[in-house]
Amino acid sequence: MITARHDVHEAIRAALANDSLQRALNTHPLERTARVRASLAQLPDAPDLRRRARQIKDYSLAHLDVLLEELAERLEERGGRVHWARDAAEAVAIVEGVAREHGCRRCIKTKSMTTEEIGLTAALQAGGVATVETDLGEFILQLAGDRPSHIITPMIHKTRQQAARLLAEKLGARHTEEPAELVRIVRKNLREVFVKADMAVVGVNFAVAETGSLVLLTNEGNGRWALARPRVLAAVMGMEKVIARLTDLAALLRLVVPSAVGSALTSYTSIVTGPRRAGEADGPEHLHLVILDNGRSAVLGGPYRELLRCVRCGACLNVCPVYRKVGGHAYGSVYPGPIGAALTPLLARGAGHTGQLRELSSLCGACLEACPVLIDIPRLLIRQRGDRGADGQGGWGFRWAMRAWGWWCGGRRRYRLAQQLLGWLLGPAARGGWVVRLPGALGAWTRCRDLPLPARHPFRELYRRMRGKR
Amino acid sequence: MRTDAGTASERQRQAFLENVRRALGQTRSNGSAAAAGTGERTNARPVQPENNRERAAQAKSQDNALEVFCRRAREAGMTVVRCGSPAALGEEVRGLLRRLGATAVLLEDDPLLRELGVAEAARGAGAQTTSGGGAAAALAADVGISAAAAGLVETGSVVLTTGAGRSRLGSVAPPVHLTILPAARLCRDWSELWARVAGGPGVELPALVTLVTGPSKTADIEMTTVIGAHGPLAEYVFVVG
Repeated sequence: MITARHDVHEAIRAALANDSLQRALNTHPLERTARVRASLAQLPDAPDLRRRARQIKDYSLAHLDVLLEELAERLEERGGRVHWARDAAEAVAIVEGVAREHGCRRCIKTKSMTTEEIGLTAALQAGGVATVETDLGEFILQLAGDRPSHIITPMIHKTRQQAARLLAEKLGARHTEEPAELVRIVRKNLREVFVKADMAVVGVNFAVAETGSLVLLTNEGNGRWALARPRVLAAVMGMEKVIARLTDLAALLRLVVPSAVGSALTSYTSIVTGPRRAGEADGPEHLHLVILDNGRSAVLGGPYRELLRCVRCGACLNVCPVYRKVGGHAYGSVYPGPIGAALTPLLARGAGHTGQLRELSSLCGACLEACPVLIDIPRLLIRQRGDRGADGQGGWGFRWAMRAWGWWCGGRRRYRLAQQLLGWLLGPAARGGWVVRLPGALGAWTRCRDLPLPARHPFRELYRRMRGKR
Repeated sequence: MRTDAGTASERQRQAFLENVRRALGQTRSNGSAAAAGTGERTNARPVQPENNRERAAQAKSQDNALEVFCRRAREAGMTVVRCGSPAALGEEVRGLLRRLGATAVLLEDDPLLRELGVAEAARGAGAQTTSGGGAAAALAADVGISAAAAGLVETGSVVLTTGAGRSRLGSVAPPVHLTILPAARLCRDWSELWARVAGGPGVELPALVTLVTGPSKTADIEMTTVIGAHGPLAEYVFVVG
């Protein structure tokens, strides 16, 4: 779920120094956000829908045990088989077991964050099941030995020139930098892979308990090949994806798809209810569903439950000023951006660098504004920062300093005095109102950001003066 | 052996669900989470609001619904042709297949297509037709023709369902896909759609329901939209009636 030995500061410096990445981040997320907003503006009842979507997801989470049981029962009635995985290792072992049981050697994968989370592709490959990522972006990343850096647009960090070079080098394709031509090359190349595959691994966008259905949203059509051609289908879902009813699905689709890609629906909305039935010409003979916990139940039972509302639309990434500067890889986690910063430390139980992720936010609130299910990420990040004293990462010195800071800033006169002192102390070090570098231990603060000087006339003073004038 | 596997997976299921129940139980007794509105377990399911008045008005008459459907389907990138009669449909099918120079056409083995004489029309355009066929036929076809189970006005989608005599690949593998949609199968909103494809709320869905809303596409390279990724390069919808 996280990159081993990831140095956040090092990764940020590398991202900032990468010109092509900066160009991509400066344009693509904004373009996508403009499309998302235009598409949401077509929904006359968008604000109502967001409240309803939140309600639907909260209801699902509060009844998760009941709904998961219902989903499993319905799906098994329809001939599917349901597996329960407590963690990533169990989930991987289950899928490997499915491949073994049915003698599968060639697997096609659709894009799925959950399978990234459990590291499935590498494991299948290592076990001798040739596994090909078939989402166009993921296919190119697999060729490059790279990882996705966005939930919806995985190769946002790569230019068309880089894609062209890769396809020429790895597939011996004619060099062209025209996106349409590049897509055609991949289409042609993957046809045979689709035709020969005997197993498909897919993710799940929503699972409907009352009908035992799995819902997959795709634009490219690779997902439809996965549901049509191989004789074995394995779907992997995070347990929070279940919802109660088809009517709930409609409400979520109406809102989530515009939020993710800026159109009313993706080209294909596939609703799978069991393996193929008698008389059908094609479709999987065997359907396996893996339901994954992997740290989610701990989140469910704690103060951060609302993070499990997330539908992985990626809207918060596109609007986040931090993501739009450092890109997805800087987070060193499968889930990047605001949702990744808030969710990853909980799922990874504070392992590795994840304690730093809550700092990768300006707390500006753009993510909350963009979120179709109204997850208050800024508030949750602030709360996680507050946990630092409690979770043992800060020592007694840290706790004491924070308490002192809180007391000092809690009084108006003390706060004003601190402002004046700071202005007086920092004034000589500032250029144009900003302090770029501080000496000694204080340098840790300015290493990644500039410090503005306190305003010469604070708001309270201006307010008093203006009121006096009236 | 079988029963052993059965009990092992049953144990896994129990342990998994027990864990979830414990998490929910803990939260229920935790005042702050309940106060935040996320912890409470109620029997009240999320309400299904009245269909938005504006939308309802938009699609008041079936005629109007047809117009809205056509507009949205075109906005989604599909080519929509309205055919007043089965004869006009035959004419359109012949015209399209001739323009494409189609030689191999795969049709679903479907009563609607038989009734409308779609295979005859295709042969009239000089194409070889296969009905129902398996993977080989789908991979060889220039054009796949399906009968829509429904059309969703709200999004301009055609709805394909699986069943005996139907090939999933027939609407995925050929470079061009054509859907025949009787106007009477238009559904104004999602609840009508569920009623049509499931035969009532929560009754039973076909093994696969696919809403097709545009040709296959990708925006993975520099967020530039390219039409024609792994599925059909072009989607045609012929609406009859």
